Amino acid sequence: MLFEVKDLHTQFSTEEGVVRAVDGISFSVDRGEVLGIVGESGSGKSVTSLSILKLIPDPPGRITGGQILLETEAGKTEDLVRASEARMEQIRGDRIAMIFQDPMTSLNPYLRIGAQLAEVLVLHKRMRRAEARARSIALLKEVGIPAATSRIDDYPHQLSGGMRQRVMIAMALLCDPDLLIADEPTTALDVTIQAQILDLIQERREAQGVAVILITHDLGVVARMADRVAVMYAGRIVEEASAEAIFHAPRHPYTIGLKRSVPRLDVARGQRLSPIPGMPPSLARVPPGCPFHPRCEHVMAVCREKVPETREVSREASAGEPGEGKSAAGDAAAGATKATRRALHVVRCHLGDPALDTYHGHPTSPAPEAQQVDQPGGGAS
Amino acid sequence: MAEVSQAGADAGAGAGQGAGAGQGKVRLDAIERGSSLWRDAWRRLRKNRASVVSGVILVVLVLACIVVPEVSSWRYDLADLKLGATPPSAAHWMGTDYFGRDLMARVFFGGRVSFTVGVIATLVSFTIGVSWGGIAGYFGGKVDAVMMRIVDALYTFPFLVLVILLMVFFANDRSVLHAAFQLVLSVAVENPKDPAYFPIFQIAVVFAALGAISWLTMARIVRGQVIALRGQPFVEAARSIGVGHRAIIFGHLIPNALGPIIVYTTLTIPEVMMTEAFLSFLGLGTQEPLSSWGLLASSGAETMDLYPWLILFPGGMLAVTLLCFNFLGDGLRDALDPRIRKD
Amino acid sequence: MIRFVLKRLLSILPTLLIVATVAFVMMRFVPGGPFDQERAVPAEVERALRAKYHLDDPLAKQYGDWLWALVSRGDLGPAFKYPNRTVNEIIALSLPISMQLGVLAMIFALLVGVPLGIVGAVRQNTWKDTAAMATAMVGVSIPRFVLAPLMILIFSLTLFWFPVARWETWRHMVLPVVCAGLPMAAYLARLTRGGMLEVIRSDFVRTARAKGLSERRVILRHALRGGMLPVVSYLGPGFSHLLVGSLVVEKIFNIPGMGRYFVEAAMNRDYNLVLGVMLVYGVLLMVFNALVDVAYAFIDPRVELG
Ligand SMILES: Nc1ncnc2c1ncn2[C@@H]1O[C@H](COP(=O)(O)OP(=O)(O)OP(=O)(O)O)[C@@H](O)[C@H]1O
Ligand code: SF4
Ligand SMILES: [Mg+2]
Repeated sequence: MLFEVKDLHTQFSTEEGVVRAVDGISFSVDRGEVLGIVGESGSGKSVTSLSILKLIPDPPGRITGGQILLETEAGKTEDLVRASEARMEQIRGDRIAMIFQDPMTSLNPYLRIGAQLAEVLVLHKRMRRAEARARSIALLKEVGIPAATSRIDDYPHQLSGGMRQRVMIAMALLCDPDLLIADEPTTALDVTIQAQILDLIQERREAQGVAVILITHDLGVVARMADRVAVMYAGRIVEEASAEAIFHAPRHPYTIGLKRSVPRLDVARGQRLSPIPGMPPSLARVPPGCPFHPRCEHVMAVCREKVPETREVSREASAGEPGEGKSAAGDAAAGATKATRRALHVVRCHLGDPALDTYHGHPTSPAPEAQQVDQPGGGAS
Repeated sequence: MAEVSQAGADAGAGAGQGAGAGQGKVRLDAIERGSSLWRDAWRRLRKNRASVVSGVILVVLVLACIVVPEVSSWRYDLADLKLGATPPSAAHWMGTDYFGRDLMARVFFGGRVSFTVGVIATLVSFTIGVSWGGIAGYFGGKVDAVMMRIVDALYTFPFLVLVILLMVFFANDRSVLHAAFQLVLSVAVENPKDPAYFPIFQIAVVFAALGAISWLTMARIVRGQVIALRGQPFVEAARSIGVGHRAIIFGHLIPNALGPIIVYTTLTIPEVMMTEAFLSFLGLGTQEPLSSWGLLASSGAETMDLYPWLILFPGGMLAVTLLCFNFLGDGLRDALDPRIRKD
Repeated sequence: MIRFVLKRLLSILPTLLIVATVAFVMMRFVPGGPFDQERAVPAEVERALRAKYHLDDPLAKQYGDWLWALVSRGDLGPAFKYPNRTVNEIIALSLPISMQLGVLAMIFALLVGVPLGIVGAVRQNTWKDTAAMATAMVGVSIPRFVLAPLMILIFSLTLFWFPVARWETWRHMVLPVVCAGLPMAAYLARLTRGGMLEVIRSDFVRTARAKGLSERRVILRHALRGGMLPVVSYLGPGFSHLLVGSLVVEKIFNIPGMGRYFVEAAMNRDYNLVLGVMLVYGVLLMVFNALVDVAYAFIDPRVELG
């Protein structure tokens, strides 16, 4: 495995108390794979990506536990959480590169883009200036910047948003990183540019086998790009599965809610979109038990006390189609589950056990609790 | 619910006197937001040790300036030429000056003048700045452009140079201003020509001059705030029920922009006090026999090799006061406007 | 860029004219002339003096003459209070001294204030930051006329390191330069810290870190320029504060700079000298502001000179 995060915890101490922005998450990505991380705003996606590079501003933030394991060139694994700052500087930009959300503010407005690109090569590849410049121009061409030879002497404000994001991508790819973290790389761009940028990332993954962590709150982007998807809520991963499974057989009520709140082209128009009621919690005051319980339509009393145990089951073992009814979508899901037969999935609470009244899998939950179903948030206040 | 109406009462008493009964509801949400903002700010301010200590010192200093000259056994202008300048002693805690006058009485009496100048000139600057910025920000467009262009132009002007000229040319007993002053005075007193009133006139000119040059930043701040606020629903609502421009600006917008205004006002006071002291030091501000810290420091500076206490005490008082105001202002800024917090 | 500077310099001419006119009119309209404070001057002598300096001409003619002399010959006229010297001579002698003081003080302020502010920002909320900023706060709060006597008491009268007054060797310059520059250094430290903090939190600095640059390089190469912008834009007003501050410093250290002449001339109603010094101040300030604008555009490529 190229890269693996185990039980990572990142906290911020703020005036309102300790914010557990990342609260025990685990995931992994291998070469040539795209892992999507989705979740509403404030669920801790960016903190996760910054934690990986250990760029969390300290104070107020700190990585308080867990491991970030990166396979070294020699084939061993190294825990970045324990790595020195000097070691991190070698890794950043060279082995793990990052693309940020807002291309408008992520490039230094006071330096020519050529200088910003070349310095990475001078730093990590010990190139001379002229050599670095030539390589930068080549990469700018590869990411589709017209007239790269002259554009390289522009300042960022002379480029459009899409261009700037291409420059960011070029910058990230300069040293042929093993892992590329893209934190909402297209959110600030309009739809056509968005597609082009995503194609560019996809192409790199195929050409160079770079592993990609793609962070977004856009399920459409994930569907298009990702092999596997981790769904984050309140600093935790609540469900992780293959992209097909997340789309066609989501298990966790939050994932189901997310999916329902996205407009879909394949569903007849007129079907109502139903956004998840309520707001994500402030991470300084995460509700006890399952953090999603104030908004969950399947909430039970026990949810307020503890998070359901994590159990590994195959998707087949829980073949019932939750949420959507057994429609055409359900059939598609059945197909999809076969495709992922080999994989065991981590499903936190929703085993979809048909024996239970709801598809809720709290082993301790008695069926009558299901009465509370229709009062989202009622128990919280 | 009880809390909301409580907050409404507070804010109503503090700010929007002009608002009619019908407008109470309109502003509720703004007020509710406002009151918790004040509570948070207060909490944050109390946690800032430097600010709290500064605030306490300032209160003590102001009280001392009020009380000490009254209870002291020495009058600030009581000379004892035989005694002359003596270092601090049991009888004269801060020593005496060249004329044998008790320095402590003079320092605290001078403090009255310094504080008064600081506060009144700040009020002048506050009034001009808030109105100017409020009007420019509220009306926007051409009005705003013209008004702010004027502010920008004045910014680059070396204002103190002008103030020096003003002080030289107007703060004398033959200027037009002095004639006007005597005219006003004649309403109140019997003999307006009495030279005893002249120092008061001079200080009045200082107020006006200092106030007139220090309103620019306030105008900019208020304008920014008003522009940010004027698009908010409660302004629309007030306008739709027929509240006039003036009431909207001064009854609705300004009260909601109070945080930055208070911060900047607190920071203007030390600036103005410093300028007054500077003018007095050059011999253009407060004049004998009155005293202010700047004036005391000025005469102290001339003899500092012989009588260093004459500069150390008034200079020290002035520096401590300015320091406290600056710390308090900084603390207030951090407390009231977390967005522009610098740490 | 040269065109911009020339344009700016040309555009200050009308402003200067307005300043000169206002000051001229103001001075002539208020009561009291250069010669009426000296009781000893007999009436006929005063009359002779007034005639000599054309003070009895109609105001418009006086103004016209003055302006013509200035424009045609660069002549600012005689100084009333210094019978044997012209305003030009006085300025020629005193301006270089004031400029030395001002420039040295500004360099001192930049050399002390900016590094202090950077340390504060980079080591934010550590004891170094707290110490630097408390010092800066004390620095902005102590008036120059308190600071100067204090330093004289300590360094001249107690330690005998530096002379008390005058402007001759570098030893004479140390205390006045420090006095003039220290409050500005303190202010610059606060400005620098604020500016740097803002930039350090910005996205592009995060990008620089994500590239693997060392903290030192991140600060010096990526953060410093942006963080310096507030400092650069303050240099214009700061220069004018410095001019005013040098009035005090020149007085205390007995330095024959322009500031001293200005204050004396204003008190004596020495019309020509006041006008002349004000014009020089005006030119200095506006030239300086133009330079600051150029510097700003040099640092920030988004700003266009026009
Ligand atoms: N510097 C910080 N100080 C304090 N809290 C922080 C800081 N950075 C992030 N947080 C907290 O961490 C939480 C997660 O933030 P994060 O930026 O990771 O969300 P996100 O999932 O990336 O959201 P978005 O989709 O809006 O980018 C936020 O709710 C915030 O409260
Ligand atoms: S059913 Fe319970 S545990 Fe599952 S998501 Fe809803 S609240 Fe959380
Ligand atoms: Mg984010």
